[in-house]
Amino acid sequence: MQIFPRALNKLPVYAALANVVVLVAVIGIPWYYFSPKNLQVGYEPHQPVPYSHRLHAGQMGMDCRYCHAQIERSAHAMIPPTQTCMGCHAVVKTDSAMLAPVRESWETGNPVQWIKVTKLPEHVYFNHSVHLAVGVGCVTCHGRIDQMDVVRLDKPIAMQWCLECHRNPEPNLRPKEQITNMTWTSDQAPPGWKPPEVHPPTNCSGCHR
Amino acid sequence: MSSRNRPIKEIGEVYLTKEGMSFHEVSDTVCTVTEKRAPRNWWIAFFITSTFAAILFITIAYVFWQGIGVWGNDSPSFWAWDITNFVWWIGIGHAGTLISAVLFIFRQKWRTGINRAAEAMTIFAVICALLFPAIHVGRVWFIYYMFPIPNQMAIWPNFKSPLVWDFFAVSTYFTVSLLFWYAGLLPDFALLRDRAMGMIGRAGKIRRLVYGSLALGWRGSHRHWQNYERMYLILAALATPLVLSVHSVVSMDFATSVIPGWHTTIFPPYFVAGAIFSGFAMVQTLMLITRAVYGMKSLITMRHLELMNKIMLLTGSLVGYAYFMEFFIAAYSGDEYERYDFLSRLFGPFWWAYVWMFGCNVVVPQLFWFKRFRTSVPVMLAVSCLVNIGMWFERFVIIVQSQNRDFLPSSWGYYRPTGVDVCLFLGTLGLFFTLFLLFIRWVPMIAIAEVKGVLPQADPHDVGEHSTEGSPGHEAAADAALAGGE
Amino acid sequence: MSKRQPYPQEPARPGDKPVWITLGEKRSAKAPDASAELVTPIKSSDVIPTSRLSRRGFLGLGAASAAIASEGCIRRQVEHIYPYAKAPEYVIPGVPNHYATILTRHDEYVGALVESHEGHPTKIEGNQDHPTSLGSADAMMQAATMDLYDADRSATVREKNGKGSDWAAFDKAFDAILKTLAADGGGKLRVLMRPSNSPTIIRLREAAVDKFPHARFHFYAPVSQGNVYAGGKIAFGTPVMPRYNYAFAKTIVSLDADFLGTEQGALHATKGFARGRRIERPSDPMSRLWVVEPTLTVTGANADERFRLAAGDVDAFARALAGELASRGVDIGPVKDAIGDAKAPEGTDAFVKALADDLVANKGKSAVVAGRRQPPHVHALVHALNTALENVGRTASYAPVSDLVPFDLGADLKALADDIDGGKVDVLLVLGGNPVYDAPGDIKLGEKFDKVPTSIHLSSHFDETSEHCTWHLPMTHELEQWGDGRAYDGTWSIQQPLIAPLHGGRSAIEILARLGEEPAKAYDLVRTTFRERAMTPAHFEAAWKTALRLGLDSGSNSIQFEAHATLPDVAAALQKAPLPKPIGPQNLEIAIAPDNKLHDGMSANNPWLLELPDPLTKIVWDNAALFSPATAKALDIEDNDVVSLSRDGAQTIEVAAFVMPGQADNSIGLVLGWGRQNSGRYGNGRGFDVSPLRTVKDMDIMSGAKLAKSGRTYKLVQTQEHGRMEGRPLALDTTVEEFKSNPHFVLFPSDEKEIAETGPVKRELERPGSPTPKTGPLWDRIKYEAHKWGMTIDLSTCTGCNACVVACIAENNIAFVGKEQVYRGREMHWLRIDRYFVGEEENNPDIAFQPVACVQCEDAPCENVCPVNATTHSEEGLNDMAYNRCIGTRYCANNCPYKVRRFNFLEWRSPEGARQPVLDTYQDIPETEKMAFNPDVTVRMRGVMEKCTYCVQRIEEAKIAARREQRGMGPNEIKTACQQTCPADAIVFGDLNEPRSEVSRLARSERGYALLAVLGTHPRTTHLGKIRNPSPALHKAKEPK
Repeated sequence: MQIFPRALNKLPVYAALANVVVLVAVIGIPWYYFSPKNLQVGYEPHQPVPYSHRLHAGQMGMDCRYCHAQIERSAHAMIPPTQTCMGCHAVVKTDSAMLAPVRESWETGNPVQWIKVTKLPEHVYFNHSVHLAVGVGCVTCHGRIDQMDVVRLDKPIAMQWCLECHRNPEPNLRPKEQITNMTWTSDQAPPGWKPPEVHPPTNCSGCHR
Repeated sequence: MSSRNRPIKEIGEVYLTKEGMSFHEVSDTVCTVTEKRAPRNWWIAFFITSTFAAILFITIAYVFWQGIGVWGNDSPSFWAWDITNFVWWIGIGHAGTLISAVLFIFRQKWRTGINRAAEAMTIFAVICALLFPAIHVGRVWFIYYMFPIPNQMAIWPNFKSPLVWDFFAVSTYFTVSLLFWYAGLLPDFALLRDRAMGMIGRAGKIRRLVYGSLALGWRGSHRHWQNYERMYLILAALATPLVLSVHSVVSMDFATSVIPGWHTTIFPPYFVAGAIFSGFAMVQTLMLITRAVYGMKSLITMRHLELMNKIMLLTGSLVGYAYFMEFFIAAYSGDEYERYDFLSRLFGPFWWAYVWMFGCNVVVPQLFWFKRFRTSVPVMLAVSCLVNIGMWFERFVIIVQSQNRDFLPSSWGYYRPTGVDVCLFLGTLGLFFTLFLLFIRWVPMIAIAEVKGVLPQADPHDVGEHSTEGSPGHEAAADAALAGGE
Repeated sequence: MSKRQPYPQEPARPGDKPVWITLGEKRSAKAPDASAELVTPIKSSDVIPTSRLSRRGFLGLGAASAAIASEGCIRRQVEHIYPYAKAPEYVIPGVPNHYATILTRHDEYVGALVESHEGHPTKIEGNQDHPTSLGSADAMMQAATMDLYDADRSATVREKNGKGSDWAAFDKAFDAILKTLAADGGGKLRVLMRPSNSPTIIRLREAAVDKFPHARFHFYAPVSQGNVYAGGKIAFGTPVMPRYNYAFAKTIVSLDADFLGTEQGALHATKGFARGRRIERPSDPMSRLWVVEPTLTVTGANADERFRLAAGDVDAFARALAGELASRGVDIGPVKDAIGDAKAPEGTDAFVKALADDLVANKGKSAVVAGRRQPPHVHALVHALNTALENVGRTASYAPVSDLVPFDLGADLKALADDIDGGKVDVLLVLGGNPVYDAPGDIKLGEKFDKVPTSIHLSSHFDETSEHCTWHLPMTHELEQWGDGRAYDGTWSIQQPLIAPLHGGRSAIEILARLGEEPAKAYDLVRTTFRERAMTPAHFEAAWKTALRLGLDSGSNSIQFEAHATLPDVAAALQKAPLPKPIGPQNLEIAIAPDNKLHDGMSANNPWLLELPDPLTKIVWDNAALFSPATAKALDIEDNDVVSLSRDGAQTIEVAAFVMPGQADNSIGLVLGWGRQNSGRYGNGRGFDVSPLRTVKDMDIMSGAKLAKSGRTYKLVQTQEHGRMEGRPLALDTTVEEFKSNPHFVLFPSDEKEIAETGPVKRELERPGSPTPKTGPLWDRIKYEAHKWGMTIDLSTCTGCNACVVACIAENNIAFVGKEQVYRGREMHWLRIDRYFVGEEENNPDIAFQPVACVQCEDAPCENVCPVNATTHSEEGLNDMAYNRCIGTRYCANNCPYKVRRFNFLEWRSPEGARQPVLDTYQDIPETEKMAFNPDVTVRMRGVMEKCTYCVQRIEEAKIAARREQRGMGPNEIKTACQQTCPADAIVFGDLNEPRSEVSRLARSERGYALLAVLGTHPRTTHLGKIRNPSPALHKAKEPK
């Protein structure tokens, strides 16, 4: 005699199928969903001062290095001191409400609390200066900043993504004088220009120390 | 009834069960254990063991919170009790597969009395073993780095590392043993289900449902038996190499390193022998207790025990040979580091551990040369316990002692365990016995069908008697008869 | 895993975890001096991200559940960037600056070059141009940043019995006090300070004396150069600090002088000594060092011929030596008669004779040195000998020292105590120091201080002395203050602050100035002093700037003279001085020396130093009384026994005993600087205070000690418990003769490959090196085209001074773990110095030091066993260790034959719920300590493996700089932290593929060998075998075994 309905005879088959599905999910969902592509790209916080790169870098065409000075000498692309802002805004838009935090910072000496957008893990030692030195453009990692009113994270900054370039840098190299050019493409390269010979590190200590 | 007790014996064949046991008696002896309410002693034992199991999990939580610094591990003993326990448990987990698979393939009928319990023990031991690699890492929340999962870092595990081999070897072993055990259980679950038919009330209902689903609709038809036998044979064939592979791989954790006392080519066979040795010792211990408590003397006869003792004598001597061989190699190699290490095993700071190991593993089993000891329950109980202790010390000596006498004397130290180490070890014992108690309470602890298969009545020539039996178990029994008879 | 927070952070918004209180806030409490602003531009600001992830955030909770205040579409923790409001000059975020300054050591100052990351001093190096450091730094200098960031430094002015107060209140009170004092010209004013040659202090003191003619200045330091000066006074009529040219000297005799360790000027002494020992070819000349001393010191460990001699017998030995020299025709004039027929201490006859021969043979190329604790007449005698041996002007020169500092500091302190008893003191001004702790026991200074109506103590901590004073004033650290000082040769250096005072303290000169002049900023005081030596006002500013930049005023090292001892005076002194009665089992001797790492205990709260193993005993977190094995047996003492020591007229102390080979029989070795009760969280109650045993009469060497066993034991912890090499070829050494006969002594005789490369090896060589395997690996060895980093460590010149170890700690953010954990063998030092006892004689062994860090194997056992690829090989041959990939199976460490890998068994730094092992509490480490972290190196969390990386952060920095400047790399451009600080230049790092690099030359040296080469690991670090130069005459040439 039998205490189960016939339908249950298929049980093993269903179980097997279920297993496959679960396995795929367990691996696939983290693989896809918990990836920087999903978790980071598009991060676009509101800054204390609604500074518009589109206006300054885009329309006015200011060079990135006017504010992010020393970037060619230091590992960090330093956020400009209030000083730099006041350099112009001591005379321009002196009463703009949007600039109130800047003026306040200038008077009190307390820093403006910018919110960090492009973030690398703390065990990663990224050096801006060397990347610029070999001719990696700002746009390569930061996207079309000159079109952003509010800075947003444009690229999935994950190890794999870094390695793609470190393993094959040529496509992302450009003449040094073009590094801040947001619209440069390889076909604008001067005749006969060849990307410099670079050997970016692909071993651990290149970035982790 | 007398005719039934007229056995047909081949020359020299001995009964594996009490003479003249009927299929029904077999079914009853085994099944009633799961059907009657548990004896008070079971509850007492269960209380004690589950307490230790609880301690285990509390300790593990504590270790995760504080870091493994709460153990005694130090430099140079980066591995100590954690890996010692791991290897010890894995070793114990060997007897099961050996008994069920290898002996099955060699048609050793006497295995039937013990293989069920042995396999269960194997699985529980492997569970305890698997705990340690999991919790012994410094950052357990990143342990998935060891698994080959596609990831954003574009890094894979290092397949050169014996630890990765370990991971695969042990998990495979666990899976196969589990399947093997479950497969063997199918007819017996069906039997329990059918016996539950007569029961009334919720208990009966639940039993029907649970055992019913576990039995996967086993009806004991000839087709079932045919497929079943084929599958069982295949699984056995699959499992057999594992018996050798698992502990060989575990031994390579050490054999592939450079540390004197670890870097030894004889490790794989030596470890396997040791594993079977300790496995049988553990089975022996458990069998002696259960058969006494549950009156299985009729099914687990002195013959079983004696055969196991003989195997222990054999493997114990193999291990002993390995010990001597290690010294010979060290001396013959002319490697000063190797020599120093082995001398300090005898005369170094850990000499006491070596004495335990050698005494328990090599000297004590020699008792089994004498039938008097081979067949005396108290002796074999004492010996089997001692052997397990000795095997633990073997791993301790290999792992800790070698590390503390390696190449640069400047970094030599003396390992001291902490209370946490002790709690963890006792905890795993607790877990192991808890699981085993649950097993004997709810699962037929002896492979009923297989035992029936080796009863004389199961012999086709022993005609027509059993068919007259009207017991709930008769189907199973009948099929068992066919099974045993093929 | 998070980098050190390089910047102070304001709490960004509610819900965010504050990272730490800002320096800005601290500073805004008081106006920063404009001058300090120039060099310490500190505003709380940063462009480096600061993690809100707790160190346990890894649990994943961090990302998932921690406050996700987020605008924007992506859920993510908010992090802030704090740029400067007004960017300071010369500071580029992410690019460290270096400033030259000076630090006190004994009575002089050593030049330092301090690395500062956006206003945080993180690393101290020696100043190349400064004569006292010559680019090197010792362990204490390296650890100075930890002193600066010590969280237990006093931050508040306190009035009697610790009542909180502030500077304003003190200023008011002090003005009143000064008024009353002015009445009688300060007759009842006493000032107690440490001896110093700082021009500004001298100037201010004179000014003070002008204003308070009857005030008296007293000087005290537990470790004084008094005997040296006094000896000079006898011999030359003026106190001098002798200086010896160890590089040039062929025979060096140390009479109880630890000139490579705890004596003044050890840094440049080591530099010179190493130069005299470094021989590349067997033909090269090599100096021979003779040492007689009671306790095995760093110097004694480097001796070619050493005799264990009780400190009290050194006098007799010196006289005997003089006698022997005289009998060999060395003209020591009247001194000969003064000596009479002094008998050499028993057992030393042969030694003295051989030594005398050696000295005579090397006339004019030898140096006889006496230790600072030897009585003046011994120093005088030594001067006489150097004169007689024609060393003056060749290997010996002398620099005069101002004699305003009394020679006998103990007596000076006693005088002060007596004045107090006599009620002659109303106001006592204690500038720095901790006299109540380190004064001789028989003065009982604490009680005395209590009697003084007004006592003011300026000190970095509220310490033992502060407790007995009515006022306590927080003092600035040397890296926080303006000052000046002179080197041994008079070189005038400016001390400039790296950071504004963290706890708003003041420096000694600022307080001192108030006595004489109007209150002024230290900056102006120092400039005023400097103006006096700079010629024209016009020239002044330029000179000032230069001095700041170089860290010294070039051309100020005027004074340096070569005098000849006036022998009659010496003779007279000798006649006056009675010979102490010889030491014996009935007459135990106690010899007290400054500690090898804590020195006199002023930085006793420095965990880096506390956990630094003693070079010889390898004991950490404690000091001990050292007994020779023979004495220990005679007195039935074993390691860890607590014994009580006492002598007439002194207090009794209890101290743990330790049996140390090389200790003189019947002489007990003790060190100062331990047993502090009020030093701070780390130092309190560590070790045993020995000053109570000292008396004004006998400060350092005292006989007639009584010993009693207490029956109790005390756990002493060592980092190295096993001292023998077990006949293994590890730290290889040989003698000059051997080296001449067999240049390849480090090679394995049957090693055809090496032999083919480096010529024949004598077969009968008994001691084999470690053979490289005959059969190479089955796979192809990697070719290293680009860089190929390697290192050589010269065992011949390494003195085992420990500087490299601390340098490594400071550079690589290495954690300290506490005594209990070291007992468990969990110390984290990437670089350790193995110390082996060589030779059978347990009482008097030779010492072999062997620095061992990761040797960066080319075929590394650690790499292929890591299951997760956390440690891999770089194309430049480094064993990269990726902390953030490590899961902590510890397999690599098991498989490392050199045992150089260190594992973070616990969260050493920030417990956040877990128990902090070091202090056994649940509190987090102080915020200020985090400021000491090097931002270029990851701070490792618990559960990960770590090890020496060849300072990969420096390598990468250099490579990036070269790439940035579109140039190739210099041959010796990169220096590792250990190499940079090594006073003996024993460590050399560089590119083996670069033919011009020093390392590629040394790696091919005949003495070069790979440790445990037999394993086929092909280490990149090779050691250069040690060469000893024993006296053949003494027949003590040690055959290689």
